[in-house]
Amino acid sequence: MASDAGEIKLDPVNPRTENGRQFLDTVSRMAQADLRDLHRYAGMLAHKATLESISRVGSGAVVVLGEAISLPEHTASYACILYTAEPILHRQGHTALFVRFALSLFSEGDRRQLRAVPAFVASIARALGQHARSLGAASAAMRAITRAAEATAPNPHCLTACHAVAAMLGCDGKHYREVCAMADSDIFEVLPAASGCQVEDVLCFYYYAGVAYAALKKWSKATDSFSMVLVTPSAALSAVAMAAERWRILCSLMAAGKPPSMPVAASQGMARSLADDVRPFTRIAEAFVTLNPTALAEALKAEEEALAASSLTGLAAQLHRAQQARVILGLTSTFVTITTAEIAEKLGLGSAADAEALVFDLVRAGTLRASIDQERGVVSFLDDDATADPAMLVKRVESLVGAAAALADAIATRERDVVLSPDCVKHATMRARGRVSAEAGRSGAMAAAAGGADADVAEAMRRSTLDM
Amino acid sequence: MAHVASASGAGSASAAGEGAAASGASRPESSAPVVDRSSVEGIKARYRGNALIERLSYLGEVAPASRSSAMALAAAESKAVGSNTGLYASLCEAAGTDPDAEWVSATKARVHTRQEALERELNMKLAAQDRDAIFEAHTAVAKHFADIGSPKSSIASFMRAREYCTPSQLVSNTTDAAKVALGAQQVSSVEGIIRSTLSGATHATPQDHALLHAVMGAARLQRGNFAGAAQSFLAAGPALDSSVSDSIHRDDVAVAATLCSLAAMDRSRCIRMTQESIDFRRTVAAVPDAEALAADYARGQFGAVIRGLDAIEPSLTHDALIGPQWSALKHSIISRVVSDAVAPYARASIAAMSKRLSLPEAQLSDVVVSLIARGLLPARLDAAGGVIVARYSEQRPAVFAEATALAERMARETKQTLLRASMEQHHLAVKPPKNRRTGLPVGMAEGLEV
Repeated sequence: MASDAGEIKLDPVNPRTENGRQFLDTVSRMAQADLRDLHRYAGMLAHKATLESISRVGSGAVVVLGEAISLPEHTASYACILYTAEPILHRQGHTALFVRFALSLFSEGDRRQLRAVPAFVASIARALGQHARSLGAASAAMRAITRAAEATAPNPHCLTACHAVAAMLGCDGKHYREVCAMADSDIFEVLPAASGCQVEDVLCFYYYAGVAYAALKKWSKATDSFSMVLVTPSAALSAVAMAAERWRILCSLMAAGKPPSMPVAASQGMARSLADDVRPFTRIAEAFVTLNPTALAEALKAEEEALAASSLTGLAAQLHRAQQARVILGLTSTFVTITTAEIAEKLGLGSAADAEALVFDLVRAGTLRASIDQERGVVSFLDDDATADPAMLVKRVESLVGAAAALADAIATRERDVVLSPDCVKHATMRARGRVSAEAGRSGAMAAAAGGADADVAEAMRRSTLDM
Repeated sequence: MAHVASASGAGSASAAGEGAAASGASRPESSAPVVDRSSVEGIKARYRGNALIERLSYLGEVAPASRSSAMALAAAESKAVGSNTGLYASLCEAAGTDPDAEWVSATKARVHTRQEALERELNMKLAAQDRDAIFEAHTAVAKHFADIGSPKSSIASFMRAREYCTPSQLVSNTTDAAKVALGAQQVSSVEGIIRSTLSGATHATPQDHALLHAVMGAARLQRGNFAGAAQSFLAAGPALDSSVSDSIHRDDVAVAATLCSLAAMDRSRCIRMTQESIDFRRTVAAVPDAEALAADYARGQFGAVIRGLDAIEPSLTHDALIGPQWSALKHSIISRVVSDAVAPYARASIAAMSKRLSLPEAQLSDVVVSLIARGLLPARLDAAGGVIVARYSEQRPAVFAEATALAERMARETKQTLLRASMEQHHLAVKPPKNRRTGLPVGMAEGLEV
């Protein structure tokens, strides 16, 4: 099979060969297969003989997908075959073909069927993410995978592998807004069985979401996103966590003017483990909070190497401006008016004109409420009108209360899941049984369990006892 | 502008009033020649012994003009009262005189003999386990060390003596240790025993109480704790030595009490503790400058207070008790005065306040900025217009911002907790890499816990 100007010429499946017949037979049976039987056929496809037959008849076999198995009717089968064929296609140099098929699957596939085969979808998404970057198809892949993420998530708060791959591709292609839109939808749950999600997906999603927020200068959300990387349960320190912490320190300086504290939910010892690695960034933070421009400049110069190694030189360069903004914002609590010359002196700027330009930028960005009298060289700080618009206040309070209520529901759901989980029920049953004497017998144990427990828990315990 | 004008008008009116007050009631005239308290003669008139030596040494260090006379007198006192040959020799050198070599060698021999005798005596008493005798022996050793200029050893011996003393001896032990510490400027080392003695002492005379409170005040002043120092100095009362003291003079305590009260107490408490306290008024009556300061502050004559501080500055910078903390004290008093002076105004002109308070405009602006930054003055500075503008507390924006921040923090931490709980429930965690040979996590392969 020669590749000619990007077009792949493939041998068609030869139905006269035993291998070809076997393959076509398998594929057509899959096309009619019920979702419940799909795993059996997947096993068949993964069988060594079938894999050999696919590789022997060539990648043309996969072209059959377009003819015998169509989207969206046979989405699950399509996913199953593509999952099996991916390593073969890649090995034989037909990565572009795989990318084409994967894009079709995610763009046109039936959502319900995609949700039924989460492991296949996750694997295909990861492979697509990897190959699309090298083929320059990141943007198209991102859009398709984002659709798949929405389709395959068991609920709106659940993370899937597709989210992580989409976030990575989005950052690669500088589609930061799309990544942020995805991250804004409050994702804080993982259901590996239903979504194919692994721990690497969790780390990558929040890391790339943080990078996207930082690119759009949403420093507070960036800090929160990097914090989510740190709360993942860890028996060892990952490179993603180290990178996230470096970003987090700098983003927190931009957002709040001070270094962040370790999240309460982070693993014990996480702070200790990270301390050595992020020491250069901690020194930069210490210099920043002094509000002394000279100290910050010296710290950034001293840690140049560490910043370059982490590719954070660009972000660090913004710290100067951020520190200057903090100093000016601090002046608003002390002064009603102040001359631009005095501002320039406090900031160590060259001239009053530089100070005026800085104030102008801050006012235009909405960070500072002030007016400038250019003739007199005087800046007047205006009072904060955060409470000027009652309707806006009410709306803000309503959204906060709504968010709190949604989180309360999530907590209640989590609590039910934990309490009714098989491990917990088994433990409770054994404990209850231990309280009753042997003479009371099994029914006595059940009654004792039911008498003292929540009704759902009691029911779960009763069922587990009967199963035993 | 009306407010500004009123501030200016009030300023000039009260400045005129202050002028009248300054020339009249606040500084009573006396026909007796006034001895500069910080001069050599002034110190000699109030102190003797180690206290005199210490104060003259300090004066010699900070006032070059008085150095030779102060050091010469200190050297003479050192030779007269003690056996500290090292101190005597260094004082003579500072005074530019030759030490009495014969006295030095005789004293050294005598000291050596005495020390050996005291140590023998102590060991005998320890062996005999006679508590009273041991106490006496330790006390004798302590006084010997104080005599030869080893205050640390002296205080340590006093501490050892405490283990053998009776309740009636406790106070004398503490006062002796306090005097040694005061003379050596090591008052912080005895603060603990003074506190415990004051809390339980039933055998203390008013003089003992006064001395202990005064030493406690000196320790707190040394640490910059002006509020605590004020409390202690005021508690000392009028029972201290008012003639010639070997520890701390009543007049010096009065001055320190006044300054620390002005620096650290709020206005109403300061007035209550100074003007309305008979004991304090009796104590401070002998020090007209201090009395005037307190009276001016009570009457709201803030400009007179600041002028009074400037007037007494030369003598207080030479004072061993107050000198080391003078600039911090002065800054605190000026800050408090400015805060009291500005607080009633909605708008106050810097120029007018500067005239009223007898402070340069730049210094006044700096003080105001510092007070605002520390949250002690609810105002803002219109630097361009030269006006201080009161900031009436509008709580709503701050409360709203705080509530929003709290809600966002709650949401953030809840999501973090939910994510972690979800991952733990499904056994998702970052695992350490595995050793290829053993298949175990890397740390465990090397025998380490991961």
